Amino acid sequence: MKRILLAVAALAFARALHAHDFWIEPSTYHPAFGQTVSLALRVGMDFTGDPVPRVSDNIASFTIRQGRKGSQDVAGIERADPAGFFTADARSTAVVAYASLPSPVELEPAKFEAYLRQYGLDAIIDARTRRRERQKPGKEIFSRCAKSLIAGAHASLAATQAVGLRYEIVPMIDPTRGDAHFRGRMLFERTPAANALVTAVFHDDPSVRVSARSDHAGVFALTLPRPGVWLIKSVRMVEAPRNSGADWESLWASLTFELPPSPR
Amino acid sequence: MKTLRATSAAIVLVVLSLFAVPAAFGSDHADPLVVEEPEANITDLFFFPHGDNYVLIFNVRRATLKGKPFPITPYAYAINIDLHSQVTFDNPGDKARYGGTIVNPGGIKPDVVFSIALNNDLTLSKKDVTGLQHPELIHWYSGLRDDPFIFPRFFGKNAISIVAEMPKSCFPAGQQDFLLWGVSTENGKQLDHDGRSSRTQQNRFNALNFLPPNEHVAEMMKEMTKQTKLQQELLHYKLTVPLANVTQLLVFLRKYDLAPDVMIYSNRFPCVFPNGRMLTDDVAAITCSTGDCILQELSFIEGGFPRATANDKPFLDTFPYEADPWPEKPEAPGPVSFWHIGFWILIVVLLLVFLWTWLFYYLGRRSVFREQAIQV
Repeated sequence: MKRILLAVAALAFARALHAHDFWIEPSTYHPAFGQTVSLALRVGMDFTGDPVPRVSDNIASFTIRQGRKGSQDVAGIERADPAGFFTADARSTAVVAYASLPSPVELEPAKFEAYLRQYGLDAIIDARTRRRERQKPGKEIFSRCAKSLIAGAHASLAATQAVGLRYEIVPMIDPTRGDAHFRGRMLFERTPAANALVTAVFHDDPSVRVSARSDHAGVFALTLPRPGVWLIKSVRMVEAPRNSGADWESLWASLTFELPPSPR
Repeated sequence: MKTLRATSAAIVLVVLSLFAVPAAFGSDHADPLVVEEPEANITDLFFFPHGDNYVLIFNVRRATLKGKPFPITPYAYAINIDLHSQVTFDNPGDKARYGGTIVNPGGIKPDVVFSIALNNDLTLSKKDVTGLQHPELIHWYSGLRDDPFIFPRFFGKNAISIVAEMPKSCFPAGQQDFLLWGVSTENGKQLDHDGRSSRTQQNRFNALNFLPPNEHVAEMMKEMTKQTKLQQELLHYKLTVPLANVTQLLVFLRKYDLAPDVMIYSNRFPCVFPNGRMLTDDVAAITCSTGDCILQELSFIEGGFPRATANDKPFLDTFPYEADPWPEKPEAPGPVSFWHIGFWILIVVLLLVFLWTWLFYYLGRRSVFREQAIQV
């Protein structure tokens, strides 16, 4: 009985958090050399997030790439928020990447469809229509694929390279240098993801947001109207693997960074 | 397999806890974890302004009532001051715990060094100072004084004290921020470290006692990664969850620990721990208010009610500021070596292992003989 209650509670928690954005919030986006930077994980809407503590059982990878060190695991304390820490190299842009393991969730048909519309997943609505499944609850598994760019003294090639998340936002120019014309690529399993809805949300005023869809090469362009901290996000949904117990699998990509007031 | 992992984790943690609990209960200014050489054990570091001067107090050999001589000549002491590291004060958590945030902990290096050694009669045999202007203006004291730590266990006890008072003008003009730490060494090997009071005394910082402060954060991050893996295992099984709770409290690093163990003093703010340290600062209460309560709890356990918030002897207004020492008394014998009993425990365990092995061997052979007899 206790197990059932726990499972129900977990499902309710997952449902509550599911149709929400997920992002990495560093203690600073422009640390000094040697500074200890904390990395908080946040889940919520409109850049107002609840803390997500570090739970290793849910983490597929949590890494940082800075300088010439290559990719390293982010240190942290189990069940603690902030979820990670690193010592800043600050010579060039650091790339933090977090990937979660999949979690199951089931949504009522109307709610599921509303969320599909909100995140521009029209192809899934069409597929459910074709399969006459629109009145069925949405059974899916979801995973988080979050990145954050932390500025250094110089631009970094790493900022424009894929780190290998299943669904990933990859800038074509390091945005921490101050170019308000953000161009990037959406990659799904390292291949271009076409027609993905990509939205940028401004931290200080989440009503300020811009959206675009990726082209056949996965490329999209956004003009960010203000300097400051931005969250760029996109959701990809595919058919769930067999034996997953779900019909669909969603992948939630996000990228946080600070756009400086003037180009560096 | 899972049960085996859980059991292994449980055994490891039981052993860890056995180490942790007694150490925590001795964790006032008693560090490193095992105090093998009490004369090398740094008990307190104070730094505060006094008129136009700065006062530096460095104590070793906690809680003693022994008289001279002390076997102290093998040890050397150094009090280091970093004058170049940038300190910021905009993080309220760091300011409350550490007095500020050191921007680049990896860049901490001593700019001023007080190199000190004592004779067995506690007179100074060495008092070299580098990095200060006019070191000849320093007023020195060395000898026994009342143990100044505000904590019942150390009331009525003495410590070996070194006091140096120097004009502020010995430091570079306009110097605002100071990072201080003391170390004790024997033949060049570091035996103890002390920065901000009640840090390396905590079990979870024991490894820092043997490292320079510019390596502290890196060491803690390394340790944190290992501890997270272990904690993940412990939280995974019902059997080991209670151990996870114990280790979280006594052994594992916390999210607010990632600062090097140095004392920060900035003359931009009044001198009250953790901004420097005055003799009158109630460190146990202040550290408890920011997340480290073991000394506070122990002071209730060992002391009366209400809890003592001042020293048992009034401090002096004049040099050397610490109260006069308590009279010499025979000291109660300290803990004996574990091997007084451990040797016999080891013999019994080895005997049991031998008997167990022999029994299996004997029973095995008997069954083989039986099988052979049946086949014949």
